[in-house]
Amino acid sequence: MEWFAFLIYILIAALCTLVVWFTIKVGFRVSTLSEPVLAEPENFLTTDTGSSDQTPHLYWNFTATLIVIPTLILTLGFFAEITSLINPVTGTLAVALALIWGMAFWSGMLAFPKQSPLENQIPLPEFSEPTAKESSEVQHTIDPKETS
Amino acid sequence: MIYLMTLFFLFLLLILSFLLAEITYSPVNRSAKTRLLDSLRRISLAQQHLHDVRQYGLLFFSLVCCVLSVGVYIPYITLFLPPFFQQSEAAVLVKSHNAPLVYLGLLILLQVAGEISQALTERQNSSAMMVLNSYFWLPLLMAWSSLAPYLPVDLSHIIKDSGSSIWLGMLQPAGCLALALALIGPYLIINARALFPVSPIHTWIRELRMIVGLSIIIPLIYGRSCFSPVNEHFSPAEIAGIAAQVILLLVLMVIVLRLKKFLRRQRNLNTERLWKITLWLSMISVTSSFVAFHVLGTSDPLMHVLLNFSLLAIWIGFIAPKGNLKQTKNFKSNSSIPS
Repeated sequence: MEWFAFLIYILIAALCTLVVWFTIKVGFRVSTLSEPVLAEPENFLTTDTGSSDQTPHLYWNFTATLIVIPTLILTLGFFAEITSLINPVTGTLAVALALIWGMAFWSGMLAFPKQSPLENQIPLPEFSEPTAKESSEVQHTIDPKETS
Repeated sequence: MIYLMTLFFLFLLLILSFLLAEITYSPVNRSAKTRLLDSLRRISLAQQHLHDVRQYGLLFFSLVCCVLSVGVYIPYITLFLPPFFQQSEAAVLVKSHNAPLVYLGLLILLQVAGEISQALTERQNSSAMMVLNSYFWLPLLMAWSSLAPYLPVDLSHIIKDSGSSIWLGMLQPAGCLALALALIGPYLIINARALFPVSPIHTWIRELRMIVGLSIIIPLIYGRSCFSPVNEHFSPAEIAGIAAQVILLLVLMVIVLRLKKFLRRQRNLNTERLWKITLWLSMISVTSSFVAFHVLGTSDPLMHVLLNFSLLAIWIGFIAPKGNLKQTKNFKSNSSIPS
């Protein structure tokens, strides 16, 4: 694969990712708005001080969309079938891989925060829906713990 | 022929999913026929209670995604079978060296679309809402990307001396494991946190998607890879291989059900931690694919095995202690005493 053909593929991949991201932003606007509300019981990115106020969910989503581009470049690069390290395609792929690792580390996706067992026992929100009531009546005789 | 096979496969999957969905609601031992009828009745009852048109449409779309992926499945699996089984050229949808990759991407996209549209209908469930974030699907994308170079099955003229037919699951164990975890992940996460009743129709669609997802993974574990030789001869060992795939499906299903039970028993299950472990695994598999195909060269399949297993060992050494296995063991022993 030539270098310029590869460049064109990269540009197409980046543009497609941006288009998908924009579509998600516009089409699923309600779900993105309700993300910060949900973040609290899930104990995202909390430190030991227990301050779960600034949970950067949207920021994570944006980083995730950015990571998609180098991943697609990597997938495309496998078809180049080039094994020399001096080749610019291999260099680009190495940079893409380094970008993936860097962004994942930088956004804290790969970090395992220390958790205390008490923080996870926050009760989940109520489930109020006609279908749910109906199914709970069916299930009422059986304790959910016993089913497991 | 292919339509008949697809219909038969769909019928089998539907029956299996109905039976599996019934397990969630009544664990009592009864005959399979009663359970099947009960399950059908329960799902139709739940379906009558769906008043919201938007919810109805989203669930229907999710079901259509499952059925579509079953329709694509038979051409997909024949690509991984020996050339003896492959169809005439008219029946092939995508015809190129990268057809397995394209099919796999299409199937994964259908699964993701079904999962997202179903999660949109249950916003009360915080685990289901996690599925709606884009970062959640990163491990799946990376696992797909890491398996991509191994998938063109008929490229063995490029790789010289391709006498080996080591399975894909042996060549790229980290990628296969990451893909399995990422595909079944939403099913495990949502079912493990079932502290409130879920509607039977949701349960059924999710079980159906789980079975379809497992059958997508099977040719990757037990299929041909880019190192497999091109032989036109027909041997009884290949028939045994196909029988082994069916057995593998059942084994994987039992493993997933046991895993679901195990996760449900844990009181303080952190779904975030599960997702992070999958992300680590998929990133390491992407890195190993890059190193194997661009730095070391594609020549030797045994070199791939060595590299991937050493990376898997590194992953276990670094990540598994952080996964807090000791704590989960304690919780398992605690919870098994009263029950």
